[in-house]
Amino acid sequence: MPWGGSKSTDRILMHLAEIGAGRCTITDDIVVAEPDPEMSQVLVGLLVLHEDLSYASRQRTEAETALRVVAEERERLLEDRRQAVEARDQFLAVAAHELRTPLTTLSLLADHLIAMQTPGRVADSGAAEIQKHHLGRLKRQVERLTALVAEMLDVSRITRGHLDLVPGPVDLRDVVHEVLDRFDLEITRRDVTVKVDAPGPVRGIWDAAHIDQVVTNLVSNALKYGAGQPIEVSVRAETSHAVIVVRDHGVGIPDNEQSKIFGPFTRAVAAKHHEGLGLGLWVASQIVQASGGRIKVDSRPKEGSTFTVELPL
Amino acid sequence: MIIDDDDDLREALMDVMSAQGYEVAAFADARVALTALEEGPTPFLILLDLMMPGMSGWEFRAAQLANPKLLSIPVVVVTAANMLSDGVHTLSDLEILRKPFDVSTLLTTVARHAAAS
Repeated sequence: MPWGGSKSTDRILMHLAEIGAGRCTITDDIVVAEPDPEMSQVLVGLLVLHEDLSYASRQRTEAETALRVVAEERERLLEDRRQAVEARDQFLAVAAHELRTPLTTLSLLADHLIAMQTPGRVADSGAAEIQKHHLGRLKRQVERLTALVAEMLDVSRITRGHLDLVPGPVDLRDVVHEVLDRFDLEITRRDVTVKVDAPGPVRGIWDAAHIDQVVTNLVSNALKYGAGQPIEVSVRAETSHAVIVVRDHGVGIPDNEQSKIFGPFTRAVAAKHHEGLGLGLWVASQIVQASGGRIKVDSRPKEGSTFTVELPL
Repeated sequence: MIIDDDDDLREALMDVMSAQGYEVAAFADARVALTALEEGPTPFLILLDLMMPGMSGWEFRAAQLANPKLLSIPVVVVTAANMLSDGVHTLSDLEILRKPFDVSTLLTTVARHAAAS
């Protein structure tokens, strides 16, 4: 049968227009029913063209999706990085503030003491008492700085993955009493009651110095955020693990902040309001995890917080 | 007047200045200090810490400037921070004592304000 002339051209152009729009009006039935073999071949060619174009279009869509995913991932990584830089800057600002404040006190008290020693200056009867008082405060600034430097070193070790535990026989009851003895002055200064519930020995194999650090950080935290209310510390052994609980009745932690408090550089209460670098709970949780244990918090705003540490026996 | 929440530093500042014969009122809480200023005598200088719980140094300064009775009292900011803005308030117009500072820097600053008062 002869080529259908302009009528055929119109049909082809119509099909092409549809294909160009991403659709196809040619079906197998139309091809089979086509009486003109040349036209039939053209229709088959158009079908193949449509399929090729559809395939290319799918490929392009997939490529675009992949590009979008990559772009989103890149944006997420950039955002993570921005947040990390912001956290680091905040940490440095807090660290600078925390280091410079006791340094200023040290500097002022030392100058003041030197001035009091100036030859020719007549010492009044209260001078010795004032000097003793100043020296006591000097000592406290040194302790504050020492604790800060220790905290920074912990952070440095943990972030470099160098938290080397040296396990040995430990009685957690002794650790708790030693830590509380060290806080004696601070507890008196803050006029806080600390109740200890440690009915019997709780012996196990842990790294004593690091567990001491965990208890120190939890007690320090309870003193800072305990609002002067009583603090309870308990130690007990259960079937498979030892449990240390430190409970305060202070400011507490809002629900939405509780998941973050064991992260680095994330203090639930604004950092500028409390002494320290705000890394104590992160350091504690890293040590507990490295010891095969776990740490959790139960807290309500204005009612206080209970930190529970479980260590394998 | 000293407004600083750090007990040790506040007491050291107070001791050093009292030893020089200055009359010093010291506050750990900026809000309490503000009330004292509104009701009590006017100091010739306020040494102001920035990072404090409750009312911050920036907020204190904003409240001070909003009160015609208090706005002319000179303020020297005592800070370890490099930032003079808390995002809302700025203190770029104020004199700063950067921590750590020594007694002579402190006393020179205080004496200059005492002489100007």
